[in-house]
Amino acid sequence: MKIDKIITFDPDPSLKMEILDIFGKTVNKEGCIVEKDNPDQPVFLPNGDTITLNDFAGIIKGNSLHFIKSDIVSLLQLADKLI
Amino acid sequence: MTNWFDKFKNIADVKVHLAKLKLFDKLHIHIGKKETTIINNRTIIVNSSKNKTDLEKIIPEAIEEGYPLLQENSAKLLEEAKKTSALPQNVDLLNFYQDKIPLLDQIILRASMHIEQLYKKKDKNHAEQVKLGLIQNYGQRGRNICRLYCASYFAGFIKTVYEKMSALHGFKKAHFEGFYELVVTESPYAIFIEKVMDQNKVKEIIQQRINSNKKYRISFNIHGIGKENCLKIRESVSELEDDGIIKISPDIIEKHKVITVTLRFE
Repeated sequence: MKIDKIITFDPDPSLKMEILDIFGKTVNKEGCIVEKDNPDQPVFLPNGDTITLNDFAGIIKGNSLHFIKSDIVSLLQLADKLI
Repeated sequence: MTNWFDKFKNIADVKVHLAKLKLFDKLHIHIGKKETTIINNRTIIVNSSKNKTDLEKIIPEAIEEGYPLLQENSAKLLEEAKKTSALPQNVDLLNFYQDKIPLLDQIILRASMHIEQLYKKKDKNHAEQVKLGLIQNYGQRGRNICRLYCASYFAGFIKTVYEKMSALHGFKKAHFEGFYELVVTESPYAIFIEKVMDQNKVKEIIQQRINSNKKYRISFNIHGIGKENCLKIRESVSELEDDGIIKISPDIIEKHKVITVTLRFE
């Protein structure tokens, strides 16, 4: 993965929703990111956690899509994956 | 490979007609609410609402090719935290702990280095926000590692213990691991006083630690930052001395509104 070409976006909730929508996701009433066509199905992180819209920082390629949380530890773990 | 990137450029070109974009690897793409434009021939800003259909195709392509999509403040934090980890003094310490503490703790340590850096730059609000995120996700362990790092325990006490342990005959790494786990989960050697704690709470916390440490006579430090915390600690310690709970006069170091009080047992 390429660190020198991170595509960024405004940290704006409505824009986050638009991005999630591109990938077939939405947010339930608890603020948790879920599958658009199956809102009972949350999106899981590689460690098994769910993720809220508030914590959502971005997306990278994985075996499936990997959703990234905005906390500093998650970002450093991402940095270690990027070349 | 750069088809998706050419599509981003096409979006910008159609709207702005600026010439002479810099080379591909110097360009940055940002998706936002502002009008589509190019800034300084380096950044393409793409309006998300007006280019929704194009973005629905381009973004998945870019991600598929390995380009991460990140909100701007997270990308900035990632870059800055990486730089902090790469400072020579931090590299030395991280190398020391590389094969000695869990991998996740090493990353929390790097996070703590950056939080300390933010405090040093007087960017207190940002430091508090980043620290809160760390604690929300990694709980008491994350909080303890951060506090212990910022109070120089990783560079000092913990490192010294490892060096002394490892010099002993029959040393096994598990010996240090047991000690380390105790330190980062229970923090028996240090307590940290926070602004939100009132005087009574501070005194209560110190007394609780005295009660739990006195059986094995484990000395501990009380740390506080800021004029209020320094005062609360001094007053609590003084009251506990008057009450006969603290029997040996503590060592107190206070400088630049940072206090460390060391309590020992008979």
